[in-house]
Amino acid sequence: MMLFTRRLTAAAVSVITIFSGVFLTASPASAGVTVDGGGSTWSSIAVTQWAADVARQGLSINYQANGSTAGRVFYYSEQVDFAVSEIPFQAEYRDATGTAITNEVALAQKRPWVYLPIVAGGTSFMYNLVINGKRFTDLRLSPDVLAKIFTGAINRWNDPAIASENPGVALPAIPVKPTIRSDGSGTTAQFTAYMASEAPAIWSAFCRKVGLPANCPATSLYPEFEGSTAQQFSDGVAAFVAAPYNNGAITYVEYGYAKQRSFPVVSLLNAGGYYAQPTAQAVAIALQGARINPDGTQVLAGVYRNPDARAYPVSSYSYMIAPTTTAKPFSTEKGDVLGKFILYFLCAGQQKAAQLGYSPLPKNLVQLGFDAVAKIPGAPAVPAIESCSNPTITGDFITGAAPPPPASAKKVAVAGIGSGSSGQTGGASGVIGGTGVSGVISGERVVDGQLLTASKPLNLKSSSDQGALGYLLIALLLGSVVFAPPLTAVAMRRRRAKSSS
Amino acid sequence: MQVIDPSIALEGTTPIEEERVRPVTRRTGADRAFRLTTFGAGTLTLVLMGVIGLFLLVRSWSAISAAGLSFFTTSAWQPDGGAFGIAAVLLGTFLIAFVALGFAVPLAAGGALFITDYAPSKIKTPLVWLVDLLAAVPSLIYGLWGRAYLQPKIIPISEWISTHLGFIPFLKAKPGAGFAASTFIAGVVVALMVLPICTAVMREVFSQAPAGEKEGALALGGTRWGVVRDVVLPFGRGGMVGASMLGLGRALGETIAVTLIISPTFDITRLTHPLETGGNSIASLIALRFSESSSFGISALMAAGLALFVITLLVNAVASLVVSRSRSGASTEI
Repeated sequence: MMLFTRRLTAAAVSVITIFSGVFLTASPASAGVTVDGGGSTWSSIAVTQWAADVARQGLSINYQANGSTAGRVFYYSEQVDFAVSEIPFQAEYRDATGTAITNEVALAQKRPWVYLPIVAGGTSFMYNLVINGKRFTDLRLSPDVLAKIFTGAINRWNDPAIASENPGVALPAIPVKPTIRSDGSGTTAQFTAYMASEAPAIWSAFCRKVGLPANCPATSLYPEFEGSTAQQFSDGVAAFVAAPYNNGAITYVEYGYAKQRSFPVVSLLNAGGYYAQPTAQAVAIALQGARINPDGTQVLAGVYRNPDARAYPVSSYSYMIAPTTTAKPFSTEKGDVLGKFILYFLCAGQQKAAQLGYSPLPKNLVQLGFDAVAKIPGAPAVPAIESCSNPTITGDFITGAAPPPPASAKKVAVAGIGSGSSGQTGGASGVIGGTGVSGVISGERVVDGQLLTASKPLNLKSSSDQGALGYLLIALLLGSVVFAPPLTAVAMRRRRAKSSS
Repeated sequence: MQVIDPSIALEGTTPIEEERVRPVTRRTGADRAFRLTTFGAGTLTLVLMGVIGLFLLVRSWSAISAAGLSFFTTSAWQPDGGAFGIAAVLLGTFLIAFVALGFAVPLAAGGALFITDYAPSKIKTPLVWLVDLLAAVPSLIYGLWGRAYLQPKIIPISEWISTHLGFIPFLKAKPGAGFAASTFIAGVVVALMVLPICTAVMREVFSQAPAGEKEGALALGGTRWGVVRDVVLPFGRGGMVGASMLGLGRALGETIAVTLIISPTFDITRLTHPLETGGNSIASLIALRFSESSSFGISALMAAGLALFVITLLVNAVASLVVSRSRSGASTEI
C-alpha cells in the first residue's frame, strides 16, 4: 500500500511539474509584456476573439469587458493601457445644480490619447407585431417616428405617424411596448447618439421630461419612461420582445439577436429616401460617411445622413482610446504589442466582423486607424493600406458593388403599396454572412491560422500545434483535479485500514 | 485560570471531586497556537465586516455629501446630471422581499412541520436533503428559469388577480399595462430562493418541541394536528419569526435573479402596483448601473450599497435576537 501512495505522490508531483512548465514556456513568447485593456461590452465579442487570435502569435492582450464608462475611468486612473468605448471622454457629467462633478477630459490630460475605430455595427429595431393572426415583417419607420416610439410620444401602433410610413397596412390598435436595456450598454449609447443627432427636438424634450438637462448627451443607460419595459442584456430584450405574450413590443438590439430568433427588424428611412435593413453591407456603406474631428472625436452625422440609397442610418463604431505617450503605465514595449494588435484587427481581424454580428470597417476608417497607430510610441511601421487584408479593401466584401435597393423600398407619398415582405427585404438578404453569434465564435477558431497567415503586413507565424498541446494539458489538469481527491481518499482509507488491522 | 468542565459541573455532587479531570493549568504550545488561530479567525470576520462598512462609507462619501438628506427622499436615480436617491429602490427592495416572504413563510412552515411531525422517518432525510439542495441552485439559474418558464405562467394569474380583485387599489392594473417583469414575478422567484433557509431554521425549531409535552398531549387524546397546534406551533413561534426575518435578510440582498426579471422603475406609483410591469431593488440597481457609471455615479451606487448593508445587518441582528430570546430558539444556532 505504501508503494501505491508513493506512486500517487509521484504522479501528483509530475502533474505539477508539467503545469509549471506550461506557465514558464507560455510567457517568453510574448516577451513578458501584457497589454491591459478594458471597456465596452458591445465590442467585447470581437475584441476577445481578436485577443485570442493574436495570443497564439505571442501577443498578450488582456481585455476586461467591464463597460465603456469603466474603461474610460480605468484609462485616466492609469489602470489599463488602452480603453474601448462607444462614446469619447465626457466633460459633461454635472450634478443637479449644474456643477461639473466628473470632467473626464481634464482627468485624462495626463495621458494623451488618440481615438481609433475598432469595430462597426448597426443597431437594429426588432419588433413583435401580429396582424390578422400573421406576424408582420415589413414595418417601415422614419427617424422621427422611431424617436417618438422610444420616448413615449407614440403609444399605439395605429398612430397616424406610423400609418403614414406604412400605407395600406392594417395596423392594430394595440399599445406599443418599447423595450429598453436596463443595464449600461453600448447599444443604448449608439442609439441615443443617433437620436440626439437626428431627432434633437424629440430627444431634448425627452431629456427634460425624465429629469435630465435639455440636450443631454448620448447615454449608456436608457432613462425609464411611461410605457417602457427594461430588460438586462441584449439577449434579455430580444427574448422579451420575442415572447408570445408581448405582441406590440419593439426594442433596439444588435442585428444578430433578431436573426437568431427569426424576428423582423424595422426598415429605417435613410437620407436617400429609401427604407434600409441593417445588413453588414448597408452598415459599411453608411460608415463611409464617418469623419473624425481634429481633436479625435467621431462625427457620425455624415453616417446618419449618408445620401446613399443603400445606407442603414443607425450605424456607428466603437473607439479604442490608445495612449500617444509613454506616460504610466504605458511603454514602448507595450506600444509594439498594441500596435501589432491594432494592425491585426483593422485588417485580417475584420474578416470575422460580419460573422460575429458586426460589420467590417470601411477603408476610410481603416486609414484613420493606421494614422492613429503611427502616433503610438513603439508601434511597428504602418504598412501600405493596399496590403491590408480587410475584406472591404481586398474586395471580398464589395461595398461599392452592392445591388441598388429595389424601387419598392423607396418612400412614397401616395398610399397603395401592398404589405408583404417581398421586395424590400429581398434587396438586402443574402449579403450578410452572419448567423447566430454564439455558434460562430466557437466554429471560427478553426480557421484562425489561415486568416492570420493571410495578413501580410503583420507576418505573424501560425502555431496551432502549440494550441493543441495547451488543450491537452488543460484536459490533464482538469482530470487531475477531478480524480485526485477521491483517489487520495481511497489510498488513505486503505492505509488506515492496514495500520489498524 | 481554572477550566471547569460543564458536564461535570452539572452533576453537582461533591463526593466525586477526586474523580474530576485535572484542570489544565499550563497550556502547551499547540493549545496556544490553536487558541490564537480560532481567535484570529473570529476576529477577522468582524474586522472584515467593519472594513466593508468603512470602505462603503469612504467611497460613498462624495455622493452622500452632495445629496444630503434628499438621498432618502428622492426616488429618481440620475447621478450624472440630475437628482438621485434611494426612496424608490428601497421601497422596491422591500416590496419584492415581502412578496417573497408571503409565499416562502407558509411554504416553509408547512414543509418543516411535515418533515418533523408527519413524514415517515424513512423519507425524512431525503426530504431535508432535497430542501437543502434548493439552496445549492445558483441564483442565475433561478433567474433564467423564472424569466423563461415561470413568467409566462404567472402573467395569466396576475391578470386574473387584477380583474377579480381589482377593487383593492394596489392590485388594480392600469388599462393596457403589461404584467411581465413585475415585482410579483420577481418575488415568487425570490421566494424559492429563501425557502431553504426558512425551512431549515423552522425544522430545527420544531424538532426541539419537548417530547414530554407532545406525548402528554397525545396521552390526553389529542390528534396529531392538535399536538402540532397546541404544542409545536406555540413552542416554535419565536423561531418562526426569526426564520422569516432571516429569509427577509436574504431576500433583500438577492441580486441576479431579480436583475434578470424586473424592469427597473423609479416611479413610486408603478412600484406600488406589484402586479404590473416594473419593480426595483438596491442590489439590482448596483448590478445594472455599476459597469457604465461615472466615478460620481459609482459613489452614488456605493451609498445605496451602504444603505442595503446597514439594513441587512439590522434585519439579521434582530432575527438572531428574536430566535435566541424565544423558548424554542435558545439552543438554535443561526
